[in-house]
Amino acid sequence: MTMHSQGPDPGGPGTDGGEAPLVTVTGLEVGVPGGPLLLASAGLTLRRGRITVLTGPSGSGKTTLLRAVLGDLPPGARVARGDVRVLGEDVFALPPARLRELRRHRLAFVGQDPGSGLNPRMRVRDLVAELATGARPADVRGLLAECRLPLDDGLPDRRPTALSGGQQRRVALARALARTPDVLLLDEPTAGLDPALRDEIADLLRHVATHRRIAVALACHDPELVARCADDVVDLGTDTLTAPPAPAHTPAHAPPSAPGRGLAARGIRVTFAARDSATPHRHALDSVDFAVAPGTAAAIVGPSGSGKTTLLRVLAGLRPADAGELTLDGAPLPTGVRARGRDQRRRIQLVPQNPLGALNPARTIGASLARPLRLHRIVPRKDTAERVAELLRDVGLPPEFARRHPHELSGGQRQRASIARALAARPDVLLCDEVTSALDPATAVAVMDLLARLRAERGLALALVSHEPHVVAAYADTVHFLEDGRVSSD
Amino acid sequence: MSAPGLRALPAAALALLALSGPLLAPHPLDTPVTAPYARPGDGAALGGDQLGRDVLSRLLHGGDALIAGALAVAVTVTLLAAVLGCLAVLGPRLGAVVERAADLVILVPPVLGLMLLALAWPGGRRLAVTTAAVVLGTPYAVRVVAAAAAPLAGAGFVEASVASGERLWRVALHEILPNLRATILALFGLRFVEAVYVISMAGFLQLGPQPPEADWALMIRENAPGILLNPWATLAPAIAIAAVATATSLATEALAPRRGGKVAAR
Amino acid sequence: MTSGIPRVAVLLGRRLLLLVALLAAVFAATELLPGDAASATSDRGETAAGLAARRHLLGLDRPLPERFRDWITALPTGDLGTSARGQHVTDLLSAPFPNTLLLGGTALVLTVLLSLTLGCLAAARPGGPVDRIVDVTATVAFALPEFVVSVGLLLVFSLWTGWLPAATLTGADGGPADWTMLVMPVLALTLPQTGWNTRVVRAALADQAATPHVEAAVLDGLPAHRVLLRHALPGALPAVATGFATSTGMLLGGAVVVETLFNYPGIGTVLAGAVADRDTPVIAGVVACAAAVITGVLLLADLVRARTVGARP
Repeated sequence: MTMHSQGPDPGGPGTDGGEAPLVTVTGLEVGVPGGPLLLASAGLTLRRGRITVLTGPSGSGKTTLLRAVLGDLPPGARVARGDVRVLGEDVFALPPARLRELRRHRLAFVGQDPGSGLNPRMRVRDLVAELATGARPADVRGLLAECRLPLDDGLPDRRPTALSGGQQRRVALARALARTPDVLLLDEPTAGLDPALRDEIADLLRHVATHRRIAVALACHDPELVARCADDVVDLGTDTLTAPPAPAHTPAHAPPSAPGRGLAARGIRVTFAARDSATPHRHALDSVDFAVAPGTAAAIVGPSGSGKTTLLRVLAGLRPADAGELTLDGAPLPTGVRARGRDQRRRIQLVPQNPLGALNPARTIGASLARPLRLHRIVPRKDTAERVAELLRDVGLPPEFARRHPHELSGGQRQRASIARALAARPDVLLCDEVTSALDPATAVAVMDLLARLRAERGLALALVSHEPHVVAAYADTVHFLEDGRVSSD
Repeated sequence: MSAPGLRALPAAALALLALSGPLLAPHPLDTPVTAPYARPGDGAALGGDQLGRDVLSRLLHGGDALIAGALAVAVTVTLLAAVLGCLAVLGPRLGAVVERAADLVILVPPVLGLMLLALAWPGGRRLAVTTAAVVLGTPYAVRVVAAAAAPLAGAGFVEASVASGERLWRVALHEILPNLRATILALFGLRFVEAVYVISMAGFLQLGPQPPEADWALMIRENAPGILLNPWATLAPAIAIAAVATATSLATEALAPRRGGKVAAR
Repeated sequence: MTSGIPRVAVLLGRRLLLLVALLAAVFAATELLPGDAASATSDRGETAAGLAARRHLLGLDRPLPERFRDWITALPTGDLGTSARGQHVTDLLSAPFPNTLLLGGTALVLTVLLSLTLGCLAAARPGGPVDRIVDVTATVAFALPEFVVSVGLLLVFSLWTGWLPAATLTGADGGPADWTMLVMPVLALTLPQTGWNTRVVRAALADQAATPHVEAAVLDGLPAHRVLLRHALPGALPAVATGFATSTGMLLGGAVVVETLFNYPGIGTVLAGAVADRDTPVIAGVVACAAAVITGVLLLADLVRARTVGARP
């Protein structure tokens, strides 16, 4: 982990040199007993009037660290080491009533999706007044004005669902400031905002930090925002926790294959039906093209909500497309899996996202692997056990694992078993959905290496969906970048 | 045995006792052995009923049909719900049908639905009661299973299975259902409690078993006028029904998957 | 907002459609199954000719769709059809129905108050002693049939302590003569339904506790009672309202049984007579009335949902 200062030096304008920090986190390690490590030896110091930015890739524990300052941990998680001191007190040792007082008057937290954090049944005015120290109407209007919200078009009387995303963020901020906190914590305050809006929020935070003499901490991975408002930067991503994986061997770029071979999609459009008539239909995907040839890997990357998984589901035949066409080796491929022929279904296999139950928890690994063998009549029934053992060996697992249930395997082993199940059908195309998320970097590299080896050995076409560009970039021949349902390739 | 298993023990023991009760009865069912509404005493541990028949013997005979009927209803409804519920989350059309059916059935109070079917089907007796309990209970039960199965329908292993071209019923029964054991067990318990309710109501309303059959609910109806003379003739079957129903209900609660929501305790 | 009126109309239309569908099912059940009103009263040795005459008198020889149309179009005018004895069902029910409404209505109000209070108390400290006691008590209570509860109440309040009268005496106006006569019937109905609804309230509040805005309210350090009443409860109301709507049906059904035990002058007595006579039209009429009442309560639940979930400006 690295920590450095930029912007004004300590002791410069906006800080009191020598004043004790409001928040100190030292060597904090948070994990689920017997499960993943969520945060590894993190440190953080927050001072009045300064903005501290937490950076690092997703999964590096930014949110966990912010919430730990509030004395809140994810379900099942424990503090393994280190401590969190807020205004001189150890938050994890505070009795519930004192912790509540601290959260009510001294700390303020604005979560990643402020829209969902606002009670949809309350009006803006009440949402802010509820937390205000002096709840006079003038105070509320003052707060809304400070957060640069319009007062004259009836906004205080609206409910959060009638506000734009940017307005929701400001209301959440006004609600946070209403209690005149000493420390303001924000999780990705500008995610999904356009640059102009992002700069406005950044300036607002700078204004608040300076004029209200608040210590501000925010998690973000937007370098522009860091440059614009950070006094201190804490990078959670440079230690061993999520080092960008170095591929064990650089994949040989596949020889250009005959045009039209492999899986291709043209002009795919998927529309989500609007939940009510007030909002327009949203395109989850809009005229998206995609192609992957045998022996190559094509990555689909983009921020969450950009339509990556939807595209993969269209390719898998799980989500009917509203427009566009699919081809497999140049021949038309129906978009619905039920309309596909037996052989087409066999040739395209899905490796689902890891944390969301990629393997059936109620069945043994062996049973999960044996099913596709029977479904696609790969081997005679009597040879099934032998073939299962072979599949497990192919992905680097001992054959005895056939008798285990998924919960008896580690995350990396589960992912290998999941790949083995997909391989059982002898596919030509593997659709991989976030296969490395929730894996530690070393395991992620090992899984990607496995896929690269299989691709080289069997001439598989790989479609890799990931929100971590650095993970797949090293392994992919082409990268499709999705944003708001549109694709740009490079 | 696990703790929830232990908590299901009283319910199982009571059901077994009720089913084997007739073998233990000391007196014949329909011969008076005491004066009408005689207090407990010589030879009749719980006294006599309105005709002077032995209350204890009738009590031991009066539960088997109720328990057997409730078990049949609970098994049928649970099986139907398990299959339909898992299919409903995979097929939106079946899901919509189930929702509408549940919307319809909620409009009929079980007791009235029971009366209607029992009357429109003369001679149906216990079969009519059982049918009514199944018809009125299934849509709600399917909804419960569908709600529990819905998150699984989006799980990776289900999607992989569907994408691989598995038939829907196979995905429902082999991929989804095995993961709903706790839900199905709890549903079975709840349906059993509900079936005891419906069948005993029918008994009380003289829609199912007819005099001179021995039936707990019927005993309460018949002996209520003499509650001052021999309270046991009414109280004993009431306690029996209450014991079976609450023991099952508590066992169900112990078996049920923990409900959503974060436990604040840290 | 302009969208407010059509929205209510859509909800109303959907509920009415469901009601009509149910009435059709009820009609089909009474028509297509073997027993009809004529044969029911003719079991006692009437001749075939007499049976045919009675069928004609009751209009049972006319085509099915025509009879359904007549029956269902007459319903909104308050005409529930003709009983097997040739009386108007409406006349049979008009005197006892208000008494049943008094009994069921009181029980419903009590159920709502008690289950909301108990559910909130339990949810205030999840897993605490109050939560566990409420949970076990509610689980026991909802499993008990009303007539079993009635027997227990009779024993305790009438036989052993003598505080309350065991049977209902009818006053000059046809209702119960004294309010004390209402206590036990109301309690017998309220206890099981409170058990059920407390569990519904508790579960709905637990679901709400997991929503982002309630978690945010906790992290904002708001007091527990404020988080519960301002942030969690409004979102739980739709599920709770549906629970109460279901209870309305259970209360109406339970009332039939409880009235028989306590000699209460409600529709229970009429229904008990109808059951003895196998008088299907009377039962069908009562089912139609009950379905209409429940539809009304469900519509209220819909409106609660539309107001809270839609959260329109």
